[in-house]
Amino acid sequence: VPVSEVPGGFTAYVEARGRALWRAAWLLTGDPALAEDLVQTALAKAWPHYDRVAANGSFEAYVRRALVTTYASWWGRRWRGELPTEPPADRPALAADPELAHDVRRALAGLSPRQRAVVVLRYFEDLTETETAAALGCSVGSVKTHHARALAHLRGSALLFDLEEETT
Amino acid sequence: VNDPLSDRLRDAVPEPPDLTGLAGRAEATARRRRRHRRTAVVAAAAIAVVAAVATPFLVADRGGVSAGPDPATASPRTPAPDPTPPGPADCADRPSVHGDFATGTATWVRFCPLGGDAALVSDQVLTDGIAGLVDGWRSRLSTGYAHSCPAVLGAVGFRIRVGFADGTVSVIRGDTGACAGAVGQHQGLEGVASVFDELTRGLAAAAAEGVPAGEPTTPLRCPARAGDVPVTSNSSSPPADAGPLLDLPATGGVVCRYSAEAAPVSHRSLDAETAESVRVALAGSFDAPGGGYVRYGGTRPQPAFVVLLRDASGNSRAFRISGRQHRVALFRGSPAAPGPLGKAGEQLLYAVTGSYG
Repeated sequence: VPVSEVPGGFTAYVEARGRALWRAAWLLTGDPALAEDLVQTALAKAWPHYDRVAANGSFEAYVRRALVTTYASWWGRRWRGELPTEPPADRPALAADPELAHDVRRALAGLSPRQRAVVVLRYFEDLTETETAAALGCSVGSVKTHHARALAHLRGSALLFDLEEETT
Repeated sequence: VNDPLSDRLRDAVPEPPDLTGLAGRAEATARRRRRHRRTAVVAAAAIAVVAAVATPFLVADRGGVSAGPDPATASPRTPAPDPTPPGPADCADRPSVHGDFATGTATWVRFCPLGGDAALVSDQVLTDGIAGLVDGWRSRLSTGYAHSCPAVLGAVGFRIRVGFADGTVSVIRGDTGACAGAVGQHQGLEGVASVFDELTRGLAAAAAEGVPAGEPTTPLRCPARAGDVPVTSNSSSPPADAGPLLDLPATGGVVCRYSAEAAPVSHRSLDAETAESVRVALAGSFDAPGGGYVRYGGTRPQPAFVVLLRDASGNSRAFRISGRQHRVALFRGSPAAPGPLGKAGEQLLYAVTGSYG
């Protein structure tokens, strides 16, 4: 039986989790259209395994891993996106706080793909170091290293500079 | 992790767009990939069988694998061109004697990309018509590039080395983000963008000399869908492994306009001048600061363009410009992959969309 015909199957999962996946993808790519492409690609990779993986209750983790590995592979193919110098005037104001969204995009754009993925998984998805390591397919020690380097970089950005001023 | 950083990330994320049909699209993509994979496996198996059957016969015909070519029947070798171009042996060499860019008599120019395979213009040397070209650069390059120039992700660095009659060399530094213009000790130059454009044109024009005109080819036709790029083709020999950029000047082209990447809704021909402008822009031209976002009309879904360029030898290249939510991506190469438009930016879009008047 095709997965899509299973009541509450793959389609129901995407309807329930698609928006959350898109948000994580936006933080990874910094671009709405690319985020949608990334989610669709990750779901396409995960779909053939839905029956087997969902039976174990681990489809969410499977999709998340597909998301970050696909993102990393896109980066390897030299898709860099662009770093805007200022918010374009004609861009639809999708974010509640466009300036903050701009700062976040700029700050995250300076991270390596792994560092960026660690930040998104740890601070947006609220994963533990162990869960993050599983999603990235690396060791916990590697996650700690990427995490430390990412924060060191973000401290020099407008994003965390303000935060540190607030706390001092 | 409960951290102010978490709060900021959550506050920054925009509202997702309408994702209706996402599951269906993902499923369709997965099915398509599965079909392609099966086709590839079958094709590989067929090739392996053919090779296994044919190889013994081929080896027998040649009298053994190790026999090598028969000197008596081997075609005469044409003399190899001088492998050593003027100037430094390669771009990695640093010139030992710095020339005076303002007054020296230029005899050669070498373009040295720093971006590896990211560079669309390869390491090349130009020797003809150099004096006039460099004289123009002297008047165009000027110091006093005062306004801030933030780095552009993905910008490809390059060096343009200018060799003079006395053996000295000057180096013009730049990148396709138009930030790092410098020559000699002078930091901050404006005009490096036009130098890059002129050299890109000059290198192609030099490469075209002596190249016989290609056979009349079939007209460039718009692909049925914008997503069908690449449609790189040549009537006689599809350059499947060729780079994404024509090496010779473009002599014409076609711009196909699509609505939501469906069937082409219209197309326009490009004259040689416009086609060459598009080719040069595609090589990594420069964008005004602010670059990744380019105004691209206000309708949704926004149009997509497929541009087909052809050179004098009959080779052609195609690339696609697609935009969604005021964001434009450039698809090129084989297989076509999305890439940043940034450097080409407005210049490229103007050349393409401007062809629609």
